[in-house]
Amino acid sequence: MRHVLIPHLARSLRLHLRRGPEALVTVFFFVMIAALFALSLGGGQDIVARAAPGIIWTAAALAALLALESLYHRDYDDGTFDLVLMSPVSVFAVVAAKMLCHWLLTGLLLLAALLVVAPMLFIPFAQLGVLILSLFCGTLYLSLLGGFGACLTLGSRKPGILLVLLILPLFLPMLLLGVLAVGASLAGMAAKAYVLLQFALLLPALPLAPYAASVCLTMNVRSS
Amino acid sequence: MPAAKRLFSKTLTLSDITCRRGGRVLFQNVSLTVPPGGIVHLTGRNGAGKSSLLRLIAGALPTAAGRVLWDGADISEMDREDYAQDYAFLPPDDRDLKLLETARENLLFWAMLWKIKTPDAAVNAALADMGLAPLADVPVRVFSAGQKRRLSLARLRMKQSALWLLDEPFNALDSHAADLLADALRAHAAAGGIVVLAAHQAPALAGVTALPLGAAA
Repeated sequence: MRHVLIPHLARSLRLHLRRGPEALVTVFFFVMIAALFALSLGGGQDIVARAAPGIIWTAAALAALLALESLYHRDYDDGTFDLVLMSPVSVFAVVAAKMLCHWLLTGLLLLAALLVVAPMLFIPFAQLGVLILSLFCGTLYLSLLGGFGACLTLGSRKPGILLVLLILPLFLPMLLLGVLAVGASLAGMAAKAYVLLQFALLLPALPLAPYAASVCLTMNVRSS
Repeated sequence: MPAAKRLFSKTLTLSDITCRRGGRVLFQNVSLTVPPGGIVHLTGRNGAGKSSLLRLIAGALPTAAGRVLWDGADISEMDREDYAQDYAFLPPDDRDLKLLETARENLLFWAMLWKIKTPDAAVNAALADMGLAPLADVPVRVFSAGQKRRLSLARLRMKQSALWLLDEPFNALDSHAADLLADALRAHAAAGGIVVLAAHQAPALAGVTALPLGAAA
């Protein structure tokens, strides 16, 4: 696994940083959506705080989808995946490495951006723990589903809209649990059950999503 | 380089192969046995199926009829990863090179993915082989077409596979680089390796078998 993970991490980080401002689009997008809602809801603390979990989760879901194309569709278009299939390496491992790269480049950054977004939406720092834990599950789930959706749409000319339509419905259960967890914690109730359910959703996806994605990738590359 | 040290001893056999793409038969009943050390030059007009045959040998394209045998085993029944260890493919263009990475970074990615021992040394050797050592740390963005071609060839040699599948390897190469490549082909054949190449001009090499395609169409 190491021989797959290290080159992929090194390459995706390198390309991400060298593309310059493009690297920050995801985070800025996330922060901007949150700021727009905070401002457009009139700034009343009770309204904004009640809407906060929904805002954060929606913004995170949309932001995470932005980075998929540069990670998957570029490698398909330039023939890298073709060469990967001609390499003595497991496609499952390659896809899993890609999903982890996606999470590091989006999920992890979004979690860090919470430090800016949470005060904007009147979320007290005491509740940040639950929010981070629940969003950790959510963003990882998005990276898994996103990788699957991306591999399914390789070869499509405009994958962006297709990805939104494919992935967001699958993401709904996770989103609902996440919003419930954060909402409960903001209301001073126990959020543990919701967070555990989130992990229960996440666990089967850990092996299944890379597997399904590797099958889609092989089919799409070999049929072109 | 020690002369005529046999590293490879496997045979490639094409048995009655028919290739169909988009409902059209490109070629049919192509049979050929290539012993270790053999060099095959695929000829034919544009669209005769040269690239398709290369992809077919790599197992990236299914045959409509017939079989590809590697060391006597049908490649469609072999484990993909095992077979992939034995061949190296040169794509017809160099689009897959990442323009924002340096030559060294591009090769290192594949060296690690291919589990090559001492990847740094292998990358340096491969770059030096194709005369790219002075450009090792230059971003590929500023490479000329010929330099990119050489980088792809350096990557191919780094894999140290028995079977080389080359799609237009001489494209964009200057005469010096073409000589380097011809030397590499000669050395590979001397080591018992097999080369199948598609090219419009015959390579300046002795002992090349020509395989014309698309004569039937």
